[in-house]
Amino acid sequence: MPRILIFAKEFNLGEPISSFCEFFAFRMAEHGIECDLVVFGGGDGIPYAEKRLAGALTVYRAPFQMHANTYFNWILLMNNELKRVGRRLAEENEYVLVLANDWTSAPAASSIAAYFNIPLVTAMHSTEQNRGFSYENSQPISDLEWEACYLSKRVVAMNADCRNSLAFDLKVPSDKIITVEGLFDYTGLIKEVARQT
Amino acid sequence: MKDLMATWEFPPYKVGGIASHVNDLSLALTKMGHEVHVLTYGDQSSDVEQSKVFVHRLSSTYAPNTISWSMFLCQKMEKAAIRLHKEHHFDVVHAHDWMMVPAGVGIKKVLRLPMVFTLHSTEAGRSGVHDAYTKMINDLEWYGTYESDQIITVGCDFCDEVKGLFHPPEGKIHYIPNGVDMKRFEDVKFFLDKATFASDWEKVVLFVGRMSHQKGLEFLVWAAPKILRTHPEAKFVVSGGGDHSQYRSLANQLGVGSKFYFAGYTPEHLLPSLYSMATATVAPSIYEPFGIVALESSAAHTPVVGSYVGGLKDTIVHEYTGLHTYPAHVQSIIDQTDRVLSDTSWAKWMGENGHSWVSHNFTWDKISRWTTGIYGKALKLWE
Repeated sequence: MPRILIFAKEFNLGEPISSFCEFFAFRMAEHGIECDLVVFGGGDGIPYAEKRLAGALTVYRAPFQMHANTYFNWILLMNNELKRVGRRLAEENEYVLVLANDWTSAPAASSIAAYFNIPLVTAMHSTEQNRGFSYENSQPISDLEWEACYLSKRVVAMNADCRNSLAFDLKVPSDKIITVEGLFDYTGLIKEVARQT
Repeated sequence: MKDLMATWEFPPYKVGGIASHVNDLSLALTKMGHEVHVLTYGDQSSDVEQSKVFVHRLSSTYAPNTISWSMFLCQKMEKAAIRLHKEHHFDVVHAHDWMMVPAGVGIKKVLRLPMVFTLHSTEAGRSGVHDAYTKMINDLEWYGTYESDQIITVGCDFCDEVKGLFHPPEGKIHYIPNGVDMKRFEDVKFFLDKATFASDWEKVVLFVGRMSHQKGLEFLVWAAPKILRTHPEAKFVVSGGGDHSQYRSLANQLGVGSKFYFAGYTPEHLLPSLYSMATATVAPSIYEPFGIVALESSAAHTPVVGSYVGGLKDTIVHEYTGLHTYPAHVQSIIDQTDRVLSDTSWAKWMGENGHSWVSHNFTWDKISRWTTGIYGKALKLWE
């Protein structure tokens, strides 16, 4: 059965990216595709591996105990643990696609995709420009977003604002962007997955 | 063996001593038959071969501070490492100092390579850990010692400092000194004109180092008036990058401004000539993990007057290759500099001793063999 390896910063019910991952896995299951999701966390009663959607989605949590002085620095260090778990999974399974979610998991997703020669798709829930570009590390974050889009076969925009920012701020070619409005229209994304499988 | 080095600075980009260290180590390892690839910073990305060492330069981005800047650079290095590994199949990744820790760890986790980490100094020693920013650097140093398979420290005392700070397992941490490329000092091709710095009758007392508090230049400036009272022929030549205005104004306040020459940063190829024209080199550091200045000066047959701190404890043999002073002790600097300037033939004798001491104990051939041994230890852990 084809499998997709997803990377996200966290998996908490109700959190938008987590909801997207679960809904994406649900839709993939309808097409006979299973998903593995690698996120930060685990421990203190939270399982390191957890099956959801009757086994269609397995969530793997990578613990990381270190603090950092900024969110940007913490994310980049935490991604090293996502890479560790991602590499192990990629050795054990044959993935047809790696899906990154935002800049917060793109460094790990793009490294694993590059090492194992697996096509990369990045889901952009918003861009740093959408969020106001007002944080001290906005420039390196925006550069990470640009790099993730550049390395991806396709880029998923979660709404029209995000699509516009991808096209005009990050200069992503429009034929590379798939827009998924309001988490409902997955036609373009499913087509892309079908093409890769 | 195929080694992948990660260093933020590599010649011609040079700020501290890491650039020279990695360059000399890479060349020596290449001579031993290693294939060495260096990942480093560059204004533009490029892949070039420099004296049989493969140098891969990557640009970074605008970032508000050095930590974020190096974090971004590190993740680009990791991508380059993945690309290169497919062709070259590296055996080990060797990261230098805290700025390269995220790259070293990332490469280790994605490529499953043994990681060796060299600490050249610590934030606690350089400036102290006193806010969130310095704590982050301190934490990255700890992270490097935690994630690496083997740790190299460049000083014997410094090794103990790292043990005390980060508590690595006993067998994991090693001391390998820095080295000197003796050829640079024996086969001097570029000469400086002494007249630029001093008159014919003047004896050059040389300081080489960055303009930072840890190098202790202010103690030499404070000592200068008394040294000049007994040795009016002394001329203090200060070489090193950074803002020297505070030291210049201190010298002026003490009335010895005309006896100081601030040369600024001296390019690598001119350093041997600068050392060799000095009667003595003074290294008044208050913190010095290794102290390459003492080795370079000895290699140029010039005795060293240096603080009894860190690596200088090992690189100066008291009354044989130079003289030790009490750290941050002006009178001690006055006394020992006076001894060297008063007896020129004894100073020359110490300079000769220093030369043979360095050429027997601190050559890159030896250091690269020791480093290969550490690589072997790291590899064994992955078997």
